[in-house]
Amino acid sequence: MKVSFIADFFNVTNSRRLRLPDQFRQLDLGADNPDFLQPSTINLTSGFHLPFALRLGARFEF
Amino acid sequence: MVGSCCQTSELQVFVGNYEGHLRNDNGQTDPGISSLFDFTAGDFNLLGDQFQVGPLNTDRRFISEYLWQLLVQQRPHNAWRWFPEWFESRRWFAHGVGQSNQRVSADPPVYLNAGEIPVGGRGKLGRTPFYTSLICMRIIRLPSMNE
Repeated sequence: MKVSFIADFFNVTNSRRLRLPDQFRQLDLGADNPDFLQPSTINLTSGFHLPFALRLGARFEF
Repeated sequence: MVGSCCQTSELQVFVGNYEGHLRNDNGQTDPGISSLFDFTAGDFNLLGDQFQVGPLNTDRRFISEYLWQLLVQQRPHNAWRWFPEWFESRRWFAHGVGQSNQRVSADPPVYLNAGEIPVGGRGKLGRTPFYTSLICMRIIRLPSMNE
């Protein structure tokens, strides 16, 4: 059996970049959206790319 | 010590007038009821530019990845010196996604919800900024128990 330990480092520089803007020009008929082209928050998704994350794991091969 | 590097690039075009049952741009999650595919009474295309072909929301024209790998077999001054160890680093570049001008349907007032009709076509407002990210990985392998 072989055992490996793995560490993944995502977004090492922790850069905060726009992923998806709010594309709603209007909230309703005649009502402009003040958050137009700001980072989106629809459906609880983040408008930014994910920040730094660390994943630790172990792999067993047999 | 052994190292390698490689680079991959991808060019793609993902365009259309209908993203599918689920819309990423306005978060609509009711399958089959998308306003982009409803035909209301009246003239064809009366909801504006809903049928106009443009970049869909996951369209990234260019993606590139640079990969470096390093294998260290033995290190004399380390407690883990007998275990081979891999280092891997990836730099990822990606083109931005398209931005649309989503309005309600005012004339005629069929859909008054926010973010229904991409007026002017998909991607009218350009793209989000270019994105790059750095990913690193480290692997330590213990000696095989069969050896």
